[in-house]
Amino acid sequence: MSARATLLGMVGHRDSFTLPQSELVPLQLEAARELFAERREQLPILDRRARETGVDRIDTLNDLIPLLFSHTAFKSYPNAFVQNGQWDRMTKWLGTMTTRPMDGVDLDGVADIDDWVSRLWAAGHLVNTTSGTSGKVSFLNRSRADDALLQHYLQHLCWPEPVKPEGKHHIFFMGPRTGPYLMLIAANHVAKLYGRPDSLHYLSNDALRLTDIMRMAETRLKMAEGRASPSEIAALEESGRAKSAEMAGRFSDMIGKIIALRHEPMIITGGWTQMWEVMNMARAAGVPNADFHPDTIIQSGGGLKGAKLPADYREQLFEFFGPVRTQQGYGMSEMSVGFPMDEDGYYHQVPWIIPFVLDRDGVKPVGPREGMVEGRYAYLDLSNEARWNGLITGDRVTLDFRETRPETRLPGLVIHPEISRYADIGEEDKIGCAGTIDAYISGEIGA
Amino acid sequence: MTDLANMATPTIAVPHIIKGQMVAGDTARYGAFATPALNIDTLVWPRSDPGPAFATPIAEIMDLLVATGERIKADPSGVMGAAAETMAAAGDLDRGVVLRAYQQLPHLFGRVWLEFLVEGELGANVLDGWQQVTDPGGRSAQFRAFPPRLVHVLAGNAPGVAAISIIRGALTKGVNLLKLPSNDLFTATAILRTMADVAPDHPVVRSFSAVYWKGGDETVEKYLLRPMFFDKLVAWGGEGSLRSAKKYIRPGFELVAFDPKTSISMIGREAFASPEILAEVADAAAADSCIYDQSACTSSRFQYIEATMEEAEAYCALLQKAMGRERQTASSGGARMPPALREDIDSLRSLDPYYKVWGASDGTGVVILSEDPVDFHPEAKTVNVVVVDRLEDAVRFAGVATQTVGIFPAARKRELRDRLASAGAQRIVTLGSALGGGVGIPHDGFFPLHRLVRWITDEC
Repeated sequence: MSARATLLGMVGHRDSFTLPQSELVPLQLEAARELFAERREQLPILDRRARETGVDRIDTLNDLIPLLFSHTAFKSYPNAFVQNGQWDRMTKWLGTMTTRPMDGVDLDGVADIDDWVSRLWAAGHLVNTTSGTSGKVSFLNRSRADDALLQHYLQHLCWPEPVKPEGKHHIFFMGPRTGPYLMLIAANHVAKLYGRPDSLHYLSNDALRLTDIMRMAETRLKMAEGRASPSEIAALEESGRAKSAEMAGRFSDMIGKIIALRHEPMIITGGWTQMWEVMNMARAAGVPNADFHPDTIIQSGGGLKGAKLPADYREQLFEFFGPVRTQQGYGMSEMSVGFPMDEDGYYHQVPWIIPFVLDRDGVKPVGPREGMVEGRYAYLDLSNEARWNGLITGDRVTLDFRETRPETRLPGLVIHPEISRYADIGEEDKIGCAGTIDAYISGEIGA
Repeated sequence: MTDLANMATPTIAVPHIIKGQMVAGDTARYGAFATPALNIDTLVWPRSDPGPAFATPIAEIMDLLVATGERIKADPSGVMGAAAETMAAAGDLDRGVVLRAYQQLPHLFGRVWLEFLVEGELGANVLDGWQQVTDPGGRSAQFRAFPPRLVHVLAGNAPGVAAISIIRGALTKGVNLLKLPSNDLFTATAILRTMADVAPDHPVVRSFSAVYWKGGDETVEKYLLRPMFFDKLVAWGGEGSLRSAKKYIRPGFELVAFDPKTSISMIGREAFASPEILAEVADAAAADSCIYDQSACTSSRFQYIEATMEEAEAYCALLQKAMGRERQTASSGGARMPPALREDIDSLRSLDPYYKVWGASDGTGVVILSEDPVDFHPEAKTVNVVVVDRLEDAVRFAGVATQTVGIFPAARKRELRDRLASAGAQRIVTLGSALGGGVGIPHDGFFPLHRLVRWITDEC
């Protein structure tokens, strides 16, 4: 069995997230070598990078760093392709980012970006996208094998004491039912595995539409060129507000159902601020602490996105929910799966993902792979069949290479709970006279 | 992007200037560098007293500036040379570009230039005395340019910004607090130290402070940026500086913004009259694009060209070669390309024939040819050449963020300039002339000195 297959085969094994580096690193190195050799044959973009950076062989994990792409690489398509409806060109672009041949995609009569994505799916390209707050989303191709790995991983929620998928949970998902976000794709898998088919609840049964997100990019362009009328700008901001108001109404209906079903097992998936609202509404309705079924799973994660919650919000929330199960992790749309959180709040390495900590600029490792190292998070995910998944992210993390530590009961490489974004930390205060139109476009659809 | 952050050398000590006096110290630490602790009380000149140079004759101020320029050139103490070396070592700009830019600084302090600046931006006899006018109703009035109280948020992408800010600040006779940018921590202080060496304790010397605080630091800005202490905030570029600055703007505390800008070129089909002319045009366009290795607002980033695809390809190849030439403000290969930009470009390399790319991502220059402008910000010597049927079609790509538009041939400026100005552009030049100028005429849409001073009247 190849080193890579060995690593991928660890999915679902109880100890796979706590293995010592001495066991993992040799496997990862060998797997990375195999994968690099294969992928540079398939992807000219990786081959060019290897040639330009002079990386020809992988002797140590750090040799992989020049081969990592920036997190914007998967949205490097020209926006003009989308705006002009040039789906053949978009397909060609995606073809340069993926190992999969794109010739089977039916582009006849594609109406919009959502249509294009569904044609990709129909041809076996199970792409997921990022949320694109800037108006431009990344397109990340996945094969059926990539999706199968995700499903396999999701059959073991709540590591280290996984809950079996038995089709007995009510499903509450605080988002739209479908759409090409990895979170939605995963939620659908979880619903299929764990959910009662008669009790699946979503904030909206409409699919999430990329067209709406891309419309922001289009309006930004129109604004930049001075072609957007004041009322068009107002209408776009207003449509955002109207949508939020409608969602708020549906959200409070959902919380009502959660309260009603709290003595039965359910899976509640949503952001921390949404969980906070569940707690507030339930308390207002007289629900006491620890009144939820013990097989209930609270699935959350991610940052607070600027929301103001008290520092001990998690403690307060779990005091309220009581002895329920929880699934949390550190991940992103680009990673195959997240690093699962242990019961002490630390995120454990997934064996097929090699993490790195780079300097602020994302160029060099901050230090040797030992002890605790803080810096910009980067990774190489060895699992993906459809693309070379080595990325430098915008997250600032502390990677803990120690085999054991007083803070966690379980051994292995972990990421510390405190994670921030480099963009949030503050710019470097370098001032130049050059700028872009972004400074002149303000408001809700601003940068 | 700075190497300062990565060097294993000890923290760099950045001195402050407080009212002409140098202050050393390293108690305030900012990663790679450290400054003396900031005492915000020392950074204000109380309104109860006129500023030190409020009554100094303009001729005396010019003498001081001229002497300062001469001493900058001779640099007997080595303070200017050391500042240049530190800026070069930071690595944001190519070393040769930094050193040549420093060599140009004394030029700005030349008497003829100072006189041209005052005359052009303000007019004569309003700095020292009162101008008399009588309105049609027979009422008479006197007015003058009164010295202001200014906070300058400096840009650090070229050392000339510090020099021209000090020159204008001195010529207003006002008091000037310079907020240093982290990408040029030394030029302003070195010039002020040189000025102090020329005339220790001179009123103009005592009218300047230059300090660092982190842009947006509320513990400083919230208390300092108030009309009780200052009249105007003079902010250069950088979204960051404007974003944090604007919340302090209120009646009595005005923003004078040298806005963040971008520049473009427009090339008519006359360029293809002969191979020689095409080569000259490519060289002129390269010169406009590579100003400060394309880090300046003046640097052209998009070039709209009246050509067939085939013609444009020939032009792009020439342009890319020309961008690799060393110039006064450009290196032959010293521009450092941000990783995200490199990937955007690499992606386009795979999209032939929709996008064609010339040049490697190694700082020598990259040219991208396309039918639509790319949606990223071309920098680090990257130019996007966009084919248009008529130059008029490219006017829509000029906007409120557009500063300079370089046009070839010069004769076509006349037909385009009003439309470009209407779209938002501020400065029309003949292709190849984007570098230079900037004093004694409007800059960023206004006469700078005119906006810095306070206009006071005495009416009967």
